[in-house]
Amino acid sequence: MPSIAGRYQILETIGRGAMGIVYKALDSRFNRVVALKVLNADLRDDSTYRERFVREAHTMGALSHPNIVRFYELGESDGKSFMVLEYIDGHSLAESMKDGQPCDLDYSVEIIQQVGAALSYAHRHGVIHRDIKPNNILISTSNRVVVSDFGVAKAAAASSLTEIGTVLGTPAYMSPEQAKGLRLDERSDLFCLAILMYQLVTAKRPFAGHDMTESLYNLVTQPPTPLSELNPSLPSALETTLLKALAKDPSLRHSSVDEFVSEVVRCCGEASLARTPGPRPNPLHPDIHGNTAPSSLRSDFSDATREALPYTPGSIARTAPLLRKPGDMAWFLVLNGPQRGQKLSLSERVTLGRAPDCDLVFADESLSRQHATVYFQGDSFHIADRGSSNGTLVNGLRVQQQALHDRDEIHIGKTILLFVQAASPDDLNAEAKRRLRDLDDVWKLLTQAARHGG
Amino acid sequence: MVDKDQFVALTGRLVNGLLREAIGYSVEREIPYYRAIAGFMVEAPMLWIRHSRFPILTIAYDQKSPDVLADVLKQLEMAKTTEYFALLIVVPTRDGTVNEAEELRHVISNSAYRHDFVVLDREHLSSIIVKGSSQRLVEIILEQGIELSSLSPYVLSGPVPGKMFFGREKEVKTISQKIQTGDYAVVGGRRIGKSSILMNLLRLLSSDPRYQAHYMNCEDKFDYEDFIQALGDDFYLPVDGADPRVFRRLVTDLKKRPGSRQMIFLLDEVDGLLDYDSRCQPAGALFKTFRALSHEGVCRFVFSGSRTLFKHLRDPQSPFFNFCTYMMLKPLEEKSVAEMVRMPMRQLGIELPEEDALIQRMVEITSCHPNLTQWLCDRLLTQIQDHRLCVRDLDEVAGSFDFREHFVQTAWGEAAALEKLISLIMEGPRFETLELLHRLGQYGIQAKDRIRQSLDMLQLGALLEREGESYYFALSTFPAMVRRLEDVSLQIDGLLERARN
Repeated sequence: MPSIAGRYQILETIGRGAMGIVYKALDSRFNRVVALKVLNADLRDDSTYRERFVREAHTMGALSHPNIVRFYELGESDGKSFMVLEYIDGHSLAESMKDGQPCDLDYSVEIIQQVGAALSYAHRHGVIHRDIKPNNILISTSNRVVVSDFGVAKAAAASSLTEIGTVLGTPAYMSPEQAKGLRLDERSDLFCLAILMYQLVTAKRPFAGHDMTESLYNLVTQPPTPLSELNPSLPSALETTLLKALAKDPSLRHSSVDEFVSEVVRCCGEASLARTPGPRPNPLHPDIHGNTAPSSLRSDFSDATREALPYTPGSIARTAPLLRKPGDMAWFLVLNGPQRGQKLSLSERVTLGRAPDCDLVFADESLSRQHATVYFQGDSFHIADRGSSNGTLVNGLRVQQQALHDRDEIHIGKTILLFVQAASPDDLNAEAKRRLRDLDDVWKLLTQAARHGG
Repeated sequence: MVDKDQFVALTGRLVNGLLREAIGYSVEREIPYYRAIAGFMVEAPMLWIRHSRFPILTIAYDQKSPDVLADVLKQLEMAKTTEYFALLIVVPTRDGTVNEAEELRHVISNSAYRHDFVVLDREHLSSIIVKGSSQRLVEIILEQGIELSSLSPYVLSGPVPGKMFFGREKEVKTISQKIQTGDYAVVGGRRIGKSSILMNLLRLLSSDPRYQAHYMNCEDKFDYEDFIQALGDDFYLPVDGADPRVFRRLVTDLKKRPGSRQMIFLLDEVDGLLDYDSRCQPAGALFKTFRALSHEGVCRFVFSGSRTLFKHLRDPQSPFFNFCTYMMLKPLEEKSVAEMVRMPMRQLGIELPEEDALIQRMVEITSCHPNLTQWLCDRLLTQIQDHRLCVRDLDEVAGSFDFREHFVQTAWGEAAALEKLISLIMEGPRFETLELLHRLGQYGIQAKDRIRQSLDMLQLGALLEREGESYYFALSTFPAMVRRLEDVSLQIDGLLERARN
């Protein structure tokens, strides 16, 4: 079996692109299946491609979100540049849209919510994806929706390899400003997300033409075909929302992906109650249409286990105790220094610094005496720098004040903290459900392997 | 018949993914597959139990298998684990009504390993994974009847692991930040935490790309040969002699290795070796070599020791004079004692209804001495009845003969007769130097230099603390403890003759 770096055994080819080949491989060190993206040999000496490859790795390495493919490693071996990514056992959204039929509205909304969560997270970390399309959206067997391929993604503030005037991305899923080679911001991804929603519920692309030239012309100059003409059962409010998101002028669109997603959820949610089942059942939640619930939601829990769960198995309700106080939900994990490995609970307001009167005191001289404050407001924790000399960095970016998200990496002085949030209240059940689904998957395969041939 | 490759790969997926996220550990290595058992060795720094490193094994459990327990033991042996504690995940191989995990648990509960193996089934995994914290695992461990005494993370002797290292931020911070430009000596009495500081520095400096840190316990290095040979073994370097100059050659060879970084030697318990070195001819050759290498910038040193090292640090004739900056370890701050009590107890599910009062009482009894605190906490876990600890429980343990004996042994350490005598004839809590000289004079002891040295040594042992011309008992309960343990007048009589000499 061929291997790379003496550690990754190639199992099969799972994709080929302009820049390289993606393999399914077994990481023998950790015995896990990974996706191995290898840069084409002929591009290896091309500094533009090599830098882009490295940049993709750096971009992905800085992001950690359940809806973004996880990055493990960037390496070189025998002249091959490769990056190791989480392997998603499942299929792409493009595959599930292959039949040319519109998707069920609930299913579409769930896809948009999960992709939106990934984009919103990336945007908060200064990254614009620039190539949101069905091929780059993967759906795992446990129904986790994952955004992949940050090959043309760009740090919003960074000097880029892609100069203005250069067009990267996929023409059918571009924003007008992208097609014109203008400077892009988050609203470009928002536009692409709206294209995706449009296509999910109509099975048509909003600016399709007979050829690429016509498509680009439509994209830049023509309004999309009204939703009502393509699928009269859709709520009219959704049409209004999509038209706003698909505005040619970025300033007329929603201000953020979150705002767009909320609006989609609201208008589809209102329609959902009165709606008859859509053209295609929701494979993420078959029970909505009276089908069998996923096995993960049918687990037979004992009373004792049930008490330990932060939600009621098989429902979306959550139990109150876990959310009684913020400290139950979130903590810092110290990643380096003498306190490495310590788990530091957070209360509603904690001060961080080297002064003995801080709530969390660190043995790090590069910290200011009162370095930063972490506080709970609304539904989330925030960090605020207290005028420290060396600053407070969240995922590599210096911040004055910022909301924290699960797995954010915080640098204060030389101390590195990992912010771990069990979940924000709304995400709690989704996260718990995801973990249980993953466990279901592994357990099922484990029992199969244990019984193999027996 | 188990699909071995698939079983191993999926075990990796479970252990490296979901469980790791929930419990919080790092995976050290894979344990070779053996008779339907796969697994990984993990290190869980956030789990407040005695066992930081342990295996997680998945067992394709077949009811017909003659002896699963024997297979597990065999695999642990092959995995070269140093402790028996392990998490065993039972994967059933057949459909049926038998609860395989329950069956294995029953087998284990009737064996000698009932406090070592934790059996997990699918339901346990669900609850751990969903809860997303190691707390649930600890609950399961306790549900399975494993005694708190065998889980206690408190350390009674030797260096403590990282998770049980509380306080000492200032010392660690100073050394780690200034080691590039100077050498350090950490001195202190018995069980005050010298080795723990060095081990913590090792962890810290090892993760710093600028340094290559090497720790050596010199307690059993009685001469040059022991020391040089051990160093050669540690670095896989041939050793051609037992002369201090060989050390210079070894370090020079190490510096030549590709990727070599600034070398830091953390030499623990150097008293014996230092004593040997100063008795050799030429005197002090080894430590002079250390000093020369440091001055040349070849490597840096952090030493730990007690009485001998302390004397050398202040002796103008010693190679140590003006070589190192020294730090004398004192008891911990109160907040560190509070953490030491609170954090492991909480994870072990111990209810502390009088938490603040309990911590305050602990501070009063131990005067924040780290080892005395660890000792009491450990004993409390051994004796606990209903997962609930009150001040009354602490007083009971602190009043036991065992504790009083441990307390006095720790306080005295290697104290000489005159030092013990001083600590017995002065009842405290505070006394003037003149008062002490007067009392000792009554016993016929008048050598002021010796008395001054003894007072210094009692400060080194953290028993006394000086304030101007007066002293007070830093271990404030010592006078009472020693009087409840011994007949002090008999002790004084016994010590007098030796103290006079």
